[in-house]
Amino acid sequence: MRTSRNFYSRYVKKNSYISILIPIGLIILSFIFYFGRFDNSNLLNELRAKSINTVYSITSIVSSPISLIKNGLESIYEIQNIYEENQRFKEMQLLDSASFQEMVSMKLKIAQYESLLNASKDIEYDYRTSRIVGDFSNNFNGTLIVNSGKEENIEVDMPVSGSNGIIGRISHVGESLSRVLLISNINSRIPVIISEDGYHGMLIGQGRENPIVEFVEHIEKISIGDLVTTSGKGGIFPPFQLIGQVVGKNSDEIQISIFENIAALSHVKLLNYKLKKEN
Amino acid sequence: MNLSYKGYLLLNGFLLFFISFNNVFNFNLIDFTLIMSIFLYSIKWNKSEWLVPLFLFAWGIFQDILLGINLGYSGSIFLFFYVLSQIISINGLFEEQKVKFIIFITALLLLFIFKNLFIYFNYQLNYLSVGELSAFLIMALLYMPLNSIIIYSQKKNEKIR
Repeated sequence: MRTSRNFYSRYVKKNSYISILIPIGLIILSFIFYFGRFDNSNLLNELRAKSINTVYSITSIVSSPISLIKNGLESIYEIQNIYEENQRFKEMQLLDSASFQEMVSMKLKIAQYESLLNASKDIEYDYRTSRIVGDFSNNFNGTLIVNSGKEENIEVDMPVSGSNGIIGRISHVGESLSRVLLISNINSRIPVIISEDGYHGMLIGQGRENPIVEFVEHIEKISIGDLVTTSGKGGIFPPFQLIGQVVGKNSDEIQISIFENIAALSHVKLLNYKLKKEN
Repeated sequence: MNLSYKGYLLLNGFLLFFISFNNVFNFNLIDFTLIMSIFLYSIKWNKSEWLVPLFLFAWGIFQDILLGINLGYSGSIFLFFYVLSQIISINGLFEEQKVKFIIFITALLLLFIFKNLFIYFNYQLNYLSVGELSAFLIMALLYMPLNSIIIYSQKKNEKIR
Protein backbone atom coordinates (compact mmCIF):
# COMPACT_ATOMS: atom_id res chain seq x y z
CA MET A 1 0.00 0.00 0.00
CA ARG A 2 2.80 2.38 1.04
CA THR A 3 4.80 1.42 -2.08
CA SER A 4 1.92 2.24 -4.40
CA ARG A 5 1.36 5.56 -2.58
CA ASN A 6 5.07 6.39 -2.91
CA PHE A 7 4.95 5.45 -6.59
CA TYR A 8 1.90 7.67 -7.09
CA SER A 9 3.50 10.65 -5.33
CA ARG A 10 6.70 10.19 -7.37
CA TYR A 11 4.60 9.99 -10.55
CA VAL A 12 2.71 13.19 -9.70
CA LYS A 13 5.95 14.99 -8.76
CA LYS A 14 7.63 13.95 -12.00
CA ASN A 15 4.64 15.10 -14.05
CA SER A 16 4.54 18.39 -12.14
CA TYR A 17 8.12 19.05 -13.16
CA ILE A 18 7.28 18.22 -16.77
CA SER A 19 4.30 20.58 -16.67
CA ILE A 20 6.64 23.37 -15.55
CA LEU A 21 9.62 22.49 -17.74
CA ILE A 22 7.65 22.34 -21.02
CA PRO A 23 6.23 25.89 -20.73
CA ILE A 24 9.59 27.23 -19.50
CA GLY A 25 11.23 25.66 -22.57
CA LEU A 26 8.56 27.26 -24.77
CA ILE A 27 9.07 30.65 -23.07
CA ILE A 28 12.79 30.40 -23.90
CA LEU A 29 11.84 29.49 -27.50
CA SER A 30 9.49 32.52 -27.65
CA PHE A 31 12.31 34.73 -26.35
CA ILE A 32 14.66 33.36 -29.01
CA PHE A 33 12.00 34.11 -31.65
CA TYR A 34 11.35 37.59 -30.29
CA PHE A 35 14.90 38.76 -29.66
CA GLY A 36 16.35 36.89 -32.62
CA ARG A 37 13.86 38.70 -34.90
CA PHE A 38 13.85 35.80 -37.32
CA ASP A 39 10.63 37.15 -38.82
CA ASN A 40 12.70 39.97 -40.33
CA SER A 41 14.40 37.44 -42.60
CA ASN A 42 13.15 37.30 -46.19
CA LEU A 43 11.67 33.80 -45.93
CA LEU A 44 9.71 34.42 -42.72
CA ASN A 45 8.71 37.87 -43.93
CA GLU A 46 7.21 36.28 -47.03
CA LEU A 47 5.51 33.55 -44.95
CA ARG A 48 4.13 36.17 -42.61
CA ALA A 49 2.77 38.24 -45.49
CA LYS A 50 1.10 35.13 -46.93
CA SER A 51 -0.42 34.12 -43.59
CA ILE A 52 -2.10 37.52 -43.03
CA ASN A 53 -4.99 36.47 -45.25
CA THR A 54 -5.60 33.16 -43.47
CA VAL A 55 -5.21 34.51 -39.94
CA TYR A 56 -7.39 37.54 -40.63
CA SER A 57 -10.10 35.45 -42.36
CA ILE A 58 -10.33 33.03 -39.40
CA THR A 59 -10.51 35.79 -36.79
CA SER A 60 -12.96 37.89 -38.79
CA ILE A 61 -15.34 34.90 -39.11
CA VAL A 62 -15.12 34.22 -35.37
CA SER A 63 -15.57 37.87 -34.44
CA SER A 64 -18.32 38.56 -36.99
CA PRO A 65 -21.28 38.45 -34.51
CA ILE A 66 -19.59 40.97 -32.17
CA SER A 67 -18.44 42.98 -35.13
CA LEU A 68 -22.01 43.11 -36.44
CA ILE A 69 -23.34 44.42 -33.12
CA LYS A 70 -20.53 46.95 -32.84
CA ASN A 71 -21.05 48.21 -36.41
CA GLY A 72 -24.80 48.50 -35.82
CA LEU A 73 -24.29 50.60 -32.69
CA GLU A 74 -21.72 52.75 -34.47
CA SER A 75 -24.12 53.34 -37.37
CA ILE A 76 -26.80 54.61 -34.98
CA TYR A 77 -24.26 56.94 -33.39
CA GLU A 78 -23.10 58.14 -36.82
CA ILE A 79 -26.66 58.89 -37.95
CA GLN A 80 -27.07 61.04 -34.85
CA ASN A 81 -24.01 63.07 -35.86
CA ILE A 82 -24.96 63.55 -39.52
CA TYR A 83 -27.46 66.37 -38.85
CA GLU A 84 -24.97 68.37 -36.78
CA GLU A 85 -22.21 67.81 -39.33
CA ASN A 86 -24.51 68.90 -42.17
CA GLN A 87 -25.24 72.18 -40.39
CA ARG A 88 -21.55 72.75 -39.80
CA PHE A 89 -20.68 72.02 -43.42
CA LYS A 90 -23.30 74.50 -44.62
CA GLU A 91 -21.70 77.18 -42.46
CA MET A 92 -18.23 76.28 -43.70
CA GLN A 93 -19.24 76.11 -47.36
CA LEU A 94 -18.51 79.75 -48.14
CA LEU A 95 -15.17 79.65 -46.37
CA ASP A 96 -14.22 76.39 -48.06
CA SER A 97 -15.08 77.61 -51.54
CA ALA A 98 -12.81 80.65 -50.97
CA SER A 99 -9.90 78.47 -49.81
CA PHE A 100 -10.54 76.00 -52.65
CA GLN A 101 -10.29 78.82 -55.19
CA GLU A 102 -7.10 79.96 -53.49
CA MET A 103 -5.67 76.43 -53.68
CA VAL A 104 -6.53 76.03 -57.37
CA SER A 105 -4.94 79.37 -58.29
CA MET A 106 -1.85 78.44 -56.21
CA LYS A 107 -1.59 75.07 -57.96
CA LEU A 108 -1.84 76.71 -61.39
CA LYS A 109 0.83 79.20 -60.39
CA ILE A 110 3.18 76.40 -59.22
CA ALA A 111 2.56 74.47 -62.46
CA GLN A 112 3.55 77.57 -64.47
CA TYR A 113 6.73 78.07 -62.40
CA GLU A 114 7.64 74.39 -62.78
CA SER A 115 7.24 74.51 -66.55
CA LEU A 116 9.38 77.69 -66.64
CA LEU A 117 12.07 75.97 -64.57
CA ASN A 118 11.71 72.71 -66.54
CA ALA A 119 11.41 70.89 -63.16
CA SER A 120 10.81 67.13 -63.09
CA LYS A 121 7.29 66.01 -62.28
CA ASP A 122 8.23 63.37 -59.72
CA ILE A 123 5.64 64.61 -57.21
CA GLU A 124 2.79 63.32 -59.36
CA TYR A 125 1.33 60.05 -58.22
CA ASP A 126 -1.76 57.96 -58.50
CA TYR A 127 -3.57 56.36 -55.55
CA ARG A 128 -5.90 53.56 -54.66
CA THR A 129 -8.52 53.84 -51.93
CA SER A 130 -8.72 50.91 -49.53
CA ARG A 131 -10.92 50.05 -46.59
CA ILE A 132 -9.38 49.47 -43.17
CA VAL A 133 -10.38 45.96 -42.08
CA GLY A 134 -8.17 45.63 -39.00
CA ASP A 135 -7.10 48.41 -36.66
CA PHE A 136 -4.27 47.55 -34.24
CA SER A 137 -3.10 51.11 -33.71
CA ASN A 138 -3.36 51.03 -29.92
CA ASN A 139 -0.09 49.27 -29.10
CA PHE A 140 3.59 50.11 -29.49
CA ASN A 141 3.67 48.21 -32.78
CA GLY A 142 0.79 50.16 -34.30
CA THR A 143 -0.43 48.67 -37.59
CA LEU A 144 -3.56 48.54 -39.77
CA ILE A 145 -4.79 45.89 -42.19
CA VAL A 146 -6.31 47.16 -45.46
CA ASN A 147 -8.28 45.23 -48.06
CA SER A 148 -5.86 45.58 -50.96
CA GLY A 149 -3.00 43.27 -51.80
CA LYS A 150 -0.97 41.75 -54.61
CA GLU A 151 -4.15 41.34 -56.66
CA GLU A 152 -4.40 45.16 -56.73
CA ASN A 153 -0.67 45.64 -57.49
CA ILE A 154 0.08 46.89 -54.00
CA GLU A 155 3.76 46.79 -53.11
CA VAL A 156 5.85 47.03 -49.95
CA ASP A 157 6.81 50.61 -48.94
CA MET A 158 3.90 52.31 -50.70
CA PRO A 159 2.99 55.46 -48.72
CA VAL A 160 -0.42 55.50 -47.02
CA SER A 161 -2.42 58.63 -46.26
CA GLY A 162 -5.76 59.63 -44.85
CA SER A 163 -7.70 62.69 -45.99
CA ASN A 164 -5.55 65.03 -43.87
CA GLY A 165 -2.06 63.64 -44.21
CA ILE A 166 0.40 60.75 -44.30
CA ILE A 167 -0.24 57.98 -41.74
CA GLY A 168 2.34 55.32 -42.64
CA ARG A 169 3.57 52.92 -45.29
CA ILE A 170 2.87 49.35 -46.45
CA SER A 171 5.03 46.84 -44.58
CA HIS A 172 3.62 43.45 -45.71
CA VAL A 173 1.55 42.54 -48.76
CA GLY A 174 -0.68 39.48 -48.87
CA GLU A 175 -2.88 38.23 -51.72
CA SER A 176 -5.84 40.45 -50.93
CA LEU A 177 -4.78 42.17 -47.69
CA SER A 178 -1.85 44.38 -46.74
CA ARG A 179 -0.40 45.63 -43.47
CA VAL A 180 0.26 49.32 -42.89
CA LEU A 181 3.10 50.31 -40.54
CA LEU A 182 1.81 53.47 -38.87
CA ILE A 183 3.97 56.52 -38.17
CA SER A 184 3.23 55.97 -34.48
CA ASN A 185 4.90 52.52 -34.62
CA ILE A 186 8.21 52.51 -32.75
CA ASN A 187 9.89 51.00 -35.82
CA SER A 188 8.78 53.90 -38.04
CA ARG A 189 11.36 56.45 -39.30
CA ILE A 190 10.37 59.13 -41.85
CA PRO A 191 12.58 61.97 -43.16
CA VAL A 192 10.66 65.25 -42.72
CA ILE A 193 10.85 69.00 -43.25
CA ILE A 194 9.71 71.41 -40.55
CA SER A 195 8.40 74.96 -41.12
CA GLU A 196 8.46 77.02 -44.31
CA ASP A 197 12.24 77.38 -43.97
CA GLY A 198 12.62 73.64 -44.53
CA TYR A 199 14.61 72.34 -41.54
CA HIS A 200 15.25 68.66 -42.03
CA GLY A 201 14.76 65.99 -39.35
CA MET A 202 13.78 62.39 -38.73
CA LEU A 203 10.23 61.58 -37.52
CA ILE A 204 10.34 58.69 -35.03
CA GLY A 205 7.25 56.77 -33.85
CA GLN A 206 6.60 56.67 -30.09
CA GLY A 207 3.85 54.09 -29.74
CA ARG A 208 0.82 55.54 -27.97
CA GLU A 209 2.40 58.99 -27.56
CA ASN A 210 2.88 61.70 -30.20
CA PRO A 211 5.76 61.03 -32.60
CA ILE A 212 8.93 63.08 -32.21
CA VAL A 213 11.41 64.61 -34.64
CA GLU A 214 15.10 64.16 -33.90
CA PHE A 215 18.36 65.21 -35.60
CA VAL A 216 16.99 68.69 -36.36
CA GLU A 217 19.44 71.45 -37.18
CA HIS A 218 18.69 74.94 -35.82
CA ILE A 219 16.07 73.57 -33.46
CA GLU A 220 15.90 77.00 -31.78
CA LYS A 221 14.39 78.50 -34.94
CA ILE A 222 11.43 76.13 -34.89
CA SER A 223 8.20 77.40 -33.32
CA ILE A 224 5.10 75.73 -31.95
CA GLY A 225 2.54 75.36 -34.72
CA ASP A 226 5.07 74.93 -37.55
CA LEU A 227 3.96 72.43 -40.17
CA VAL A 228 5.72 69.09 -40.59
CA THR A 229 5.78 67.54 -44.07
CA THR A 230 7.62 64.69 -45.74
CA SER A 231 10.97 65.67 -47.24
CA GLY A 232 10.96 63.09 -50.04
CA LYS A 233 14.44 61.91 -49.06
CA GLY A 234 14.78 58.14 -49.29
CA GLY A 235 12.34 58.01 -52.20
CA ILE A 236 9.55 56.22 -50.34
CA PHE A 237 7.31 59.19 -49.54
CA PRO A 238 6.53 61.95 -52.04
CA PRO A 239 7.79 65.35 -50.81
CA PHE A 240 5.60 68.02 -49.16
CA GLN A 241 2.93 65.64 -47.87
CA LEU A 242 1.40 66.96 -44.66
CA ILE A 243 2.01 64.95 -41.49
CA GLY A 244 1.28 67.22 -38.57
CA GLN A 245 2.41 70.25 -36.65
CA VAL A 246 4.85 71.06 -33.85
CA VAL A 247 3.24 70.99 -30.41
CA GLY A 248 6.31 71.10 -28.20
CA LYS A 249 10.10 71.02 -28.20
CA ASN A 250 13.10 70.19 -26.01
CA SER A 251 16.77 70.89 -26.56
CA ASP A 252 17.19 67.95 -28.93
CA GLU A 253 13.73 66.80 -30.03
CA ILE A 254 10.40 68.13 -31.25
CA GLN A 255 6.97 66.72 -30.38
CA ILE A 256 4.49 66.44 -33.22
CA SER A 257 0.73 66.20 -33.27
CA ILE A 258 -0.34 64.33 -36.41
CA PHE A 259 -3.26 65.76 -38.41
CA GLU A 260 -4.97 62.46 -39.03
CA ASN A 261 -7.10 60.84 -36.36
CA ILE A 262 -6.18 57.24 -37.22
CA ALA A 263 -8.80 55.70 -34.91
CA ALA A 264 -11.58 57.54 -36.78
CA LEU A 265 -10.45 56.49 -40.26
CA SER A 266 -12.40 53.93 -42.25
CA HIS A 267 -10.60 54.27 -45.60
CA VAL A 268 -7.06 55.18 -46.60
CA LYS A 269 -5.25 56.14 -49.80
CA LEU A 270 -2.37 53.93 -50.96
CA LEU A 271 -0.12 56.17 -53.04
CA ASN A 272 1.69 54.47 -55.91
CA TYR A 273 4.41 57.10 -55.90
CA LYS A 274 7.09 54.41 -56.03
CA LEU A 275 5.41 52.61 -58.94
CA LYS A 276 5.12 55.88 -60.86
CA LYS A 277 8.86 56.47 -60.49
CA GLU A 278 9.73 53.00 -61.76
CA ASN A 279 7.49 53.24 -64.82
CA MET B 1 -5.78 13.72 -15.26
CA ASN B 2 -5.52 16.06 -18.23
CA LEU B 3 -8.37 17.87 -19.93
CA SER B 4 -10.88 15.86 -21.97
CA TYR B 5 -11.14 16.30 -25.75
CA LYS B 6 -14.15 18.52 -25.14
CA GLY B 7 -12.11 20.53 -22.67
CA TYR B 8 -9.27 21.05 -25.15
CA LEU B 9 -11.76 22.01 -27.83
CA LEU B 10 -13.43 24.53 -25.53
CA LEU B 11 -10.07 25.95 -24.46
CA ASN B 12 -8.87 26.41 -28.04
CA GLY B 13 -12.23 27.86 -29.05
CA PHE B 14 -12.03 30.33 -26.20
CA LEU B 15 -8.45 31.31 -27.12
CA LEU B 16 -9.43 31.87 -30.77
CA PHE B 17 -12.55 33.80 -29.77
CA PHE B 18 -10.57 36.02 -27.40
CA ILE B 19 -7.77 36.69 -29.89
CA SER B 20 -10.43 37.65 -32.46
CA PHE B 21 -11.56 40.42 -30.09
CA ASN B 22 -8.48 42.33 -31.25
CA ASN B 23 -10.13 42.58 -34.67
CA VAL B 24 -13.18 44.36 -33.34
CA PHE B 25 -12.03 46.45 -30.39
CA ASN B 26 -9.14 48.86 -30.31
CA PHE B 27 -8.98 50.36 -26.83
CA ASN B 28 -5.99 52.38 -25.70
CA LEU B 29 -6.18 51.32 -22.08
CA ILE B 30 -7.28 47.70 -22.39
CA ASP B 31 -4.71 45.15 -23.47
CA PHE B 32 -6.38 41.89 -24.53
CA THR B 33 -3.10 39.97 -24.16
CA LEU B 34 -3.03 40.88 -20.49
CA ILE B 35 -6.72 40.06 -19.99
CA MET B 36 -6.02 36.64 -21.45
CA SER B 37 -3.13 36.37 -19.01
CA ILE B 38 -5.53 36.97 -16.10
CA PHE B 39 -7.61 34.03 -17.34
CA LEU B 40 -4.56 31.81 -17.72
CA TYR B 41 -3.34 32.75 -14.26
CA SER B 42 -6.72 32.30 -12.56
CA ILE B 43 -7.53 28.85 -13.93
CA LYS B 44 -6.43 25.93 -11.79
CA TRP B 45 -4.59 23.79 -14.32
CA ASN B 46 -3.92 20.13 -13.88
CA LYS B 47 -0.45 19.51 -12.44
CA SER B 48 0.43 16.96 -15.10
CA GLU B 49 -0.82 19.09 -17.97
CA TRP B 50 1.65 19.35 -20.88
CA LEU B 51 -0.50 19.96 -23.97
CA VAL B 52 -1.89 23.36 -22.93
CA PRO B 53 1.53 25.13 -23.10
CA LEU B 54 1.91 23.93 -26.69
CA PHE B 55 -1.51 25.38 -27.56
CA LEU B 56 -0.62 28.66 -25.84
CA PHE B 57 2.64 28.87 -27.79
CA ALA B 58 0.83 28.26 -31.09
CA TRP B 59 -1.96 30.76 -30.32
CA GLY B 60 0.69 33.29 -29.28
CA ILE B 61 2.28 33.03 -32.72
CA PHE B 62 -1.19 33.31 -34.28
CA GLN B 63 -1.91 36.53 -32.34
CA ASP B 64 1.51 37.98 -33.22
CA ILE B 65 0.80 37.42 -36.92
CA LEU B 66 -2.61 39.08 -36.57
CA LEU B 67 -1.32 42.11 -34.65
CA GLY B 68 1.91 42.48 -36.62
CA ILE B 69 4.14 42.07 -33.56
CA ASN B 70 7.48 40.24 -33.63
CA LEU B 71 6.85 36.51 -33.23
CA GLY B 72 7.17 35.30 -29.65
CA TYR B 73 5.77 38.35 -27.83
CA SER B 74 2.25 37.11 -27.02
CA GLY B 75 3.33 33.51 -26.50
CA SER B 76 5.90 34.44 -23.87
CA ILE B 77 3.33 36.50 -21.92
CA PHE B 78 0.70 33.72 -22.07
CA LEU B 79 3.20 31.08 -20.99
CA PHE B 80 4.68 33.26 -18.25
CA PHE B 81 1.31 33.56 -16.49
CA TYR B 82 0.55 29.88 -17.12
CA VAL B 83 3.83 28.85 -15.46
CA LEU B 84 3.13 31.20 -12.57
CA SER B 85 -0.28 29.58 -12.09
CA GLN B 86 1.32 26.11 -12.11
CA ILE B 87 4.04 27.14 -9.63
CA ILE B 88 1.60 28.58 -7.08
CA SER B 89 -0.64 25.55 -7.57
CA ILE B 90 2.23 23.11 -6.92
CA ASN B 91 3.23 25.09 -3.82
CA GLY B 92 -0.32 24.93 -2.49
CA LEU B 93 -0.92 28.69 -2.67
CA PHE B 94 -3.73 28.56 -5.21
CA GLU B 95 -6.50 28.88 -2.64
CA GLU B 96 -4.75 31.75 -0.84
CA GLN B 97 -6.43 34.55 -2.78
CA LYS B 98 -4.50 37.42 -1.18
CA VAL B 99 -1.11 35.80 -1.85
CA LYS B 100 -2.25 34.93 -5.37
CA PHE B 101 -3.22 38.57 -5.98
CA ILE B 102 0.12 39.87 -4.63
CA ILE B 103 2.02 37.43 -6.87
CA PHE B 104 -0.07 38.57 -9.85
CA ILE B 105 0.63 42.26 -9.18
CA THR B 106 4.36 41.53 -8.75
CA ALA B 107 4.40 39.58 -12.02
CA LEU B 108 2.54 42.39 -13.79
CA LEU B 109 5.03 44.92 -12.42
CA LEU B 110 7.97 42.77 -13.54
CA LEU B 111 6.44 42.47 -17.00
CA PHE B 112 5.88 46.24 -17.12
CA ILE B 113 9.51 46.96 -16.12
CA PHE B 114 10.90 44.35 -18.51
CA LYS B 115 8.82 45.62 -21.45
CA ASN B 116 9.85 49.23 -20.87
CA LEU B 117 13.52 48.36 -20.36
CA PHE B 118 13.49 46.28 -23.53
CA ILE B 119 11.96 49.13 -25.56
CA TYR B 120 14.38 51.61 -23.97
CA PHE B 121 17.51 49.60 -24.78
CA ASN B 122 16.35 48.26 -28.13
CA TYR B 123 14.77 51.40 -29.59
CA GLN B 124 16.39 54.12 -27.42
CA LEU B 125 12.86 55.15 -26.57
CA ASN B 126 11.37 56.10 -23.21
CA TYR B 127 8.03 54.34 -23.60
CA LEU B 128 7.01 54.88 -19.98
CA SER B 129 3.87 57.03 -20.06
CA VAL B 130 0.66 57.67 -18.12
CA GLY B 131 -1.29 55.71 -20.74
CA GLU B 132 1.01 52.70 -20.48
CA LEU B 133 0.93 52.74 -16.67
CA SER B 134 -2.88 53.13 -16.68
CA ALA B 135 -3.22 50.06 -18.93
CA PHE B 136 -1.34 47.96 -16.37
CA LEU B 137 -3.32 49.45 -13.46
CA ILE B 138 -6.59 48.60 -15.20
CA MET B 139 -5.39 45.00 -15.49
CA ALA B 140 -4.73 44.96 -11.74
CA LEU B 141 -8.29 46.25 -11.16
CA LEU B 142 -9.78 43.70 -13.55
CA TYR B 143 -8.03 40.81 -11.83
CA MET B 144 -10.43 40.48 -8.87
CA PRO B 145 -13.74 40.25 -10.81
CA LEU B 146 -12.30 37.98 -13.51
CA ASN B 147 -10.61 35.74 -10.97
CA SER B 148 -13.87 35.43 -8.99
CA ILE B 149 -15.80 34.49 -12.14
CA ILE B 150 -13.28 31.79 -13.08
CA ILE B 151 -13.06 30.33 -9.55
CA TYR B 152 -16.87 30.24 -9.33
CA SER B 153 -17.29 28.57 -12.72
CA GLN B 154 -14.51 26.06 -12.03
CA LYS B 155 -16.02 25.08 -8.66
CA LYS B 156 -19.46 24.79 -10.21
CA ASN B 157 -18.05 22.58 -12.95
CA GLU B 158 -16.36 20.32 -10.34
CA LYS B 159 -19.63 19.95 -8.43
CA ILE B 160 -21.48 18.90 -11.57
CA ARG B 161 -18.81 16.25 -12.21
